[in-house]
Amino acid sequence: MSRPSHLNGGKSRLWILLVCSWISLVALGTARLELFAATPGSSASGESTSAGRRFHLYVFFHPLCECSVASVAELHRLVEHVDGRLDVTAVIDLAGLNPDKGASLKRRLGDAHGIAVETDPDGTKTASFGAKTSGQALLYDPQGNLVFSGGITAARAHEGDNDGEAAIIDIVNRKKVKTRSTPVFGCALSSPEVRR
Amino acid sequence: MSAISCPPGASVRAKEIVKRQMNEIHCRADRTFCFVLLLQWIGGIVAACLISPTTYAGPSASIHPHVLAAVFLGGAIISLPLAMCVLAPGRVLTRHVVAIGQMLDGALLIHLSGGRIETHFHVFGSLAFLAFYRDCRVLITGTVIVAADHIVRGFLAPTSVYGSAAGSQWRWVEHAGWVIFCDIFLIYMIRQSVRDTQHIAERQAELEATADVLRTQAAELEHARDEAIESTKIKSQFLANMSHEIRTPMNGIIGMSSLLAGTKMNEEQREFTHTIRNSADALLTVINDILDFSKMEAGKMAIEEVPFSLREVLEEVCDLLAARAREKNIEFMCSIPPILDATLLGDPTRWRQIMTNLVANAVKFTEQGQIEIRTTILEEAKQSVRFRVSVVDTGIGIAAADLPHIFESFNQADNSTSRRYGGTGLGLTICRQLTELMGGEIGVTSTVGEGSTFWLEFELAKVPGGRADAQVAVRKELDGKHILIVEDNACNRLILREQIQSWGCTIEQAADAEEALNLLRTSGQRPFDLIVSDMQMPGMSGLDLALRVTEELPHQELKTVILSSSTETILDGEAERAGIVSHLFKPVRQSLLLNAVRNGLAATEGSRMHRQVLPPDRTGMERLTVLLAEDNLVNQKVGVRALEKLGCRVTVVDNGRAAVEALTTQSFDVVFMDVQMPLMDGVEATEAIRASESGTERHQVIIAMTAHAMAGDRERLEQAGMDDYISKPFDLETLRRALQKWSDAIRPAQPEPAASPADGLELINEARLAESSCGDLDFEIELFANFLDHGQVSLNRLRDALRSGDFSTVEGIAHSLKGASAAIGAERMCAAAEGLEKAAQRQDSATESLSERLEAEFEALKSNLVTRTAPEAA
Repeated sequence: MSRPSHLNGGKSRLWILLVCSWISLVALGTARLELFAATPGSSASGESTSAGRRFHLYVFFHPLCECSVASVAELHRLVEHVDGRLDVTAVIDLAGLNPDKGASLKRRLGDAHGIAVETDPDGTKTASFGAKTSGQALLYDPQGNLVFSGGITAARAHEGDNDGEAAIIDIVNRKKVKTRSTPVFGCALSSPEVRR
Repeated sequence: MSAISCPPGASVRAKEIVKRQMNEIHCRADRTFCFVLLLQWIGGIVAACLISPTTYAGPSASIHPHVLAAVFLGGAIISLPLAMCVLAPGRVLTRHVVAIGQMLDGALLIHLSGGRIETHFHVFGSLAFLAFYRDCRVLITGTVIVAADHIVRGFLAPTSVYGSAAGSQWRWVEHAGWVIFCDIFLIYMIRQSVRDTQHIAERQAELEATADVLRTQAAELEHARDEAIESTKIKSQFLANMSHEIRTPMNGIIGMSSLLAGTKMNEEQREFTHTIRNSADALLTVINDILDFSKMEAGKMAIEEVPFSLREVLEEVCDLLAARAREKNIEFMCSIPPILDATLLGDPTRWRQIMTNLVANAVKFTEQGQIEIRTTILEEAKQSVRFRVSVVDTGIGIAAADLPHIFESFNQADNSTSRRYGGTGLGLTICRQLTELMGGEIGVTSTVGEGSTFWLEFELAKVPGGRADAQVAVRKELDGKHILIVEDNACNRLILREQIQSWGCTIEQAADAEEALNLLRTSGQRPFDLIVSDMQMPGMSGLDLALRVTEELPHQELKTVILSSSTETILDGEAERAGIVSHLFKPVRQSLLLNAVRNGLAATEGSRMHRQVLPPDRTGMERLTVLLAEDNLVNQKVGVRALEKLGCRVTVVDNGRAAVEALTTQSFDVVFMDVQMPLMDGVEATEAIRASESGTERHQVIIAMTAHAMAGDRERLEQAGMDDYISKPFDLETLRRALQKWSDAIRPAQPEPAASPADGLELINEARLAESSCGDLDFEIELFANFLDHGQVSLNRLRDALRSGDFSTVEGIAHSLKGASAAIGAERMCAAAEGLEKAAQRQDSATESLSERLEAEFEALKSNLVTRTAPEAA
């Protein structure tokens, strides 16, 4: 036996209402997720450093941050791209952490030729450069001037072409640069309280 | 009845089927997606936990937002589709929500995997899953969601969908293009599948429609069949009833006319009676023919296969029709080779019917000359014998043009034949059909003015054993006996020679009396043991020959068996003087001839030794006690008179229950039991009688009298325990034949008829009663009734005397009863009264028990009187 049409109609309206609410909820959740992915960490202050013969790139990592995987991959790509025209130092912030925690990242960074890996057991060096977010890259020209500050991934844990990496390559190649600053996507590095 | 065709409603039905099947598919796909969505949700959580379980702020860790997104956002994405799949399966909205959820789930997974291009394959997998719905619109919804997701995220967060931001503004077009590419094939497949479903549904609808039509037709056929069965049943019942209703009055006519013919009448009355009897016989033949024909037309004619003697059947037919032939002075011969003494398997009733018909036709259409039943063996094997039986007559013959139609229904040689000789024209048709039913062949050859030969050819199986032993015994007994056959008819001579030779006798033949005398005179070296002579011969008759033999050759002391074709009788004195031991009518039954030859040989030897002539053959049915159970008054009278004429003592009851009761108080040699009777029919009564005999050696001979003509009646009667049956209408001859058939079985079994099992005394000594009543039946009943009236008064007085202890009065009453009961032949009551008388003399205490016995005997006599007077009362 079929139900009366007004009941069916009422039920359909209820379902449609539910569907609309559901779509809204899902859209909201997705937006929130996208917002998280697109929200960068804090940028470094990027003081000048001592002059050298070549451009020098400092990249700061949190040893346990999942986003570091994408940043390490992009760093390897960058090193290959500039091919010896750039000195690269990767700093692993171990402040407040067991020193063993940096071993895995250290091995991964060491796989690429031309990257000097330094551990920062108490976060002093990290603090001296003012780096606050894992994946922070600071590029200094041969004169020791800060010419770029930012991340080398387009979003959290996302590999692929990104503005930061492109800017560094352009600067090293002495080309016209679109930007000298990009957002950094990654976990927060040790806070001053921890370093103390 | 409707023809098989696809009705217009089939397309509507096809749509219904498609709709139902599609709904089933949608519901099934909904159920599948319940699991798929749940699985994806769990998979998303597991992936998030594996890829990025935690996020850090320096040394402090917390759950990564991707894990939370996988749990909560993923949960939110599947929640509504899951709920709708469970709560509203099959709805259009449900599958579209499922499509949206499925695609959003894919988007989430792509995001969680960091925009890995491999994760985009989830989209194609999802589209394939969504194709389960067989609904293109669902694919469109899914595609729209994918495209929208790519557009929106391509602009806002391209890395989350493409993994990099490069060229993100237009990459959604490429992605959407691939999705649509996939959609094209899926949509094609879906449309094909839906078309197939529709096609199958149309076929199913057509099949259902055809099945409906077939069901209707089957129902109509079933109804028609039921009606036909019912109609056949009604027809059969009508036939049975008609048979019964016609035969009952016919019995009265035939029986009474037969009895009437035996009374004193003037010539005119005799002629009238003769005409009535002949007309009744003719009418009965017509009725029988029509009933048989109807049965065969209805396929109800049952043919049985039982051991039987063809010789007996042929001889019975000869017996039946020889009288008619004799009346017309036609020579009647029957030759049956000894091989056919074997017991064969077949239907004796139908054989009798066919042969009676053929021989009766021969007698009917032959005015002078002879009729011969000639049996020849065509082929004999160990298990069977093939033979031809021919009925050869010298009658009017049949024109060649009529011969091909002679076995057709309602056909006689010509219409004038029908007018002149009567008959339905069904007899030969019935013969043909019966012959074919029994697996034989029938044919005819004929020449107008010279006669006809109707023949039957059969192959019948032999029953092992059978009459072979009896034949050996006969040969042992008669081996080497020297017999003289005197017969002017060469054919008859041949038949007699073959018959007698088959018993081991040596034969010499003479064509007339003079030749016979010459042979007898010159037989010094090897004297004859017996003469078998025809009665009617040119020159000297058989009787004269026998007289001459006794006169001329007294030392030989030869006995003669006379065979006669006429109704002429031989006086007892003449027979004794001529040494004639048997006078048989032609054609002679082999069994009768054998008996006659045996008696003749014994008499010859006896004379030679003791000079004593043996008495002629007796029927052996005199003083048989017969219980006739018959409700119809006319049939009762016919039966009683006919049986009394045969010398039987008859007791009549009018229902089966009374018959059973009568058998408990009195014994009878044979019971004639009507099948249809009120209160208890013949079948039930027979079953009751057989039940009472169970565990004893008693076997009451019961012969059914039935007016039923339907197939299966005979089996029913046999199953009930009846020994034999006769068809109504019956007459004196029918009863005589039945009693003759069973007399041998009855007499040896009951050498002391009507004896009381206890003391050898009879309830009623019928001879004594008949003596007292001078053979007057009415007086007998009156006498009996008077005895019972007075007896009742005496018994009342006896009771009073016993109560008062008056032994003297008891003795007097017992004495009186003893005398009265002896007078009517009440032997058991007489004995009881005598015992009481003696006990009363002694003033014995046994008087009481003896008086009880006396009263019991009196009650038994009262019951007996009731059975005696029943037909009169009716």
